[in-house]
Amino acid sequence: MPVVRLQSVDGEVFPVDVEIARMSFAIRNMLDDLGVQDNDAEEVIPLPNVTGPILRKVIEWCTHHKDDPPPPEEDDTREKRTDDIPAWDQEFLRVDQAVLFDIILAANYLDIKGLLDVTCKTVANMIKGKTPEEIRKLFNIKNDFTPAEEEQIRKENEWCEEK
Amino acid sequence: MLLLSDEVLLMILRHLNSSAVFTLSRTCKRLRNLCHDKEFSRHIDAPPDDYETLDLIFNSLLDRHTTSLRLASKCHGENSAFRSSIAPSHLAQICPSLRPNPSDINLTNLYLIRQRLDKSIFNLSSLPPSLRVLHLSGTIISNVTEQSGYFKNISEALPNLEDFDLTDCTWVPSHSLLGISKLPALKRLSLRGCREIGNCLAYSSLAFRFGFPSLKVLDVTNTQFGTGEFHSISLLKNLEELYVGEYDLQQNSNAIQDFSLHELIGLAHLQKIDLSGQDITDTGLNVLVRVPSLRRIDAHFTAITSGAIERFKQLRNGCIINKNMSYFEY
Repeated sequence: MPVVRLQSVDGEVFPVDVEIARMSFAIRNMLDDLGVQDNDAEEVIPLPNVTGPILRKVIEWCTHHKDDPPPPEEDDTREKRTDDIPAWDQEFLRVDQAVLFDIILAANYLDIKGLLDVTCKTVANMIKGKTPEEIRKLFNIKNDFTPAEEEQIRKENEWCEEK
Repeated sequence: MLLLSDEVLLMILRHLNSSAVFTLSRTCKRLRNLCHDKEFSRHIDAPPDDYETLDLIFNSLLDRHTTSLRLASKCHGENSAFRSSIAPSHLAQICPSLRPNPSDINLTNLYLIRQRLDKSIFNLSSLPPSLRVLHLSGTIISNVTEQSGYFKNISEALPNLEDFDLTDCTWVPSHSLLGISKLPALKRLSLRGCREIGNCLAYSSLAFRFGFPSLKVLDVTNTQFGTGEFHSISLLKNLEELYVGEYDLQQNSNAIQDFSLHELIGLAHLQKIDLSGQDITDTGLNVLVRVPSLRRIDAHFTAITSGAIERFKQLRNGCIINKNMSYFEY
């Protein structure tokens, strides 16, 4: 199996099967643009936005999902389900919040749709069922509303809950 | 979490139901703005079978700042092309008379594309008078009949309506023209594919003779609009664009013929006309030379010859004639 070498921002080099690396549309485009042939095993692709530990996680995910069917074409229908995360992914994403967000950033940068989807769902699940105050606490979000805005939100809230 | 880009945060928002988005919008300014993001609420393209999204739109996000609301359902082939959608309680949210504070609604553009509604639920007269654009392309409003007077009071209810699109609304009865023609501000009307339109000459001549005071663009492509109606078209003095092509070549029983085109000579502002599929020959093209402002003529599937087009171009070199589709291509 032909291999490409991916280099993280902190200089770590990961040899990866081409087929797995190509799950990232960003890398796929780079390979195609560079015209990299299967036998150019020495070619190193620098990934300036991804650190070694995160890249290791991303490669681990891609390796596990390499035989998945291609994700369905993007369409307008918004997927609302978040209860369909495979058990392996749930375990895989049982990480610090900071790591989870780094994986999201990497998945977005590398354009790996499946990974981005499952990580976004995981965050959505963390948000669901909580109060605004609990969400602030969980994600360390500062309440920056002015009193007037607070008041407006309170009114909106009343209006909505009347329904 | 706030380190994530707006783009990624919006992806997360898509996985949340309406109440979770609403809760999130109460945590901080940035998330609040995102939850009210233009992409997300001001111009919404939602699949109509998704009740949670609709709830969110109608109950939380639709407010006095919302000027445009678009709900389009996708086409899934011939048989399941329309998907039902909006509950009466949702529609009530855009009807000022049913809101706690009627001045809360400043909607100017409403697009309900390929929906299925009932006339008792979707009443044109209760839509906000601020509406300027109303598109119902491909939407079916059931139980509308000649007798139901569905469009009857529309002119009083929607005095600012400028653009009314009823493309492919095959349920629109020809009688509706009377109600629609009274809309005082109407500039653009599309009845493309409304096959009933033009099947009763009395209605259409009355409407075009006495109504449509501001009409500039009329699209009656693929309707029964024919020679009889053409006679009253000459009274629409502001008309700039007229589309009367017939692209379903099996259908045309009421074809427009050369002599009708004389009616167009008095239309000083007419710039574009589509006569495709009509019984137009070189004689008709010679008449069009005398329509002063014409810039574009479409005449696919007509008997106009290339010699006549050349002669026309010498007389009117600023006007383009398109006649390149052949029967086989279409």
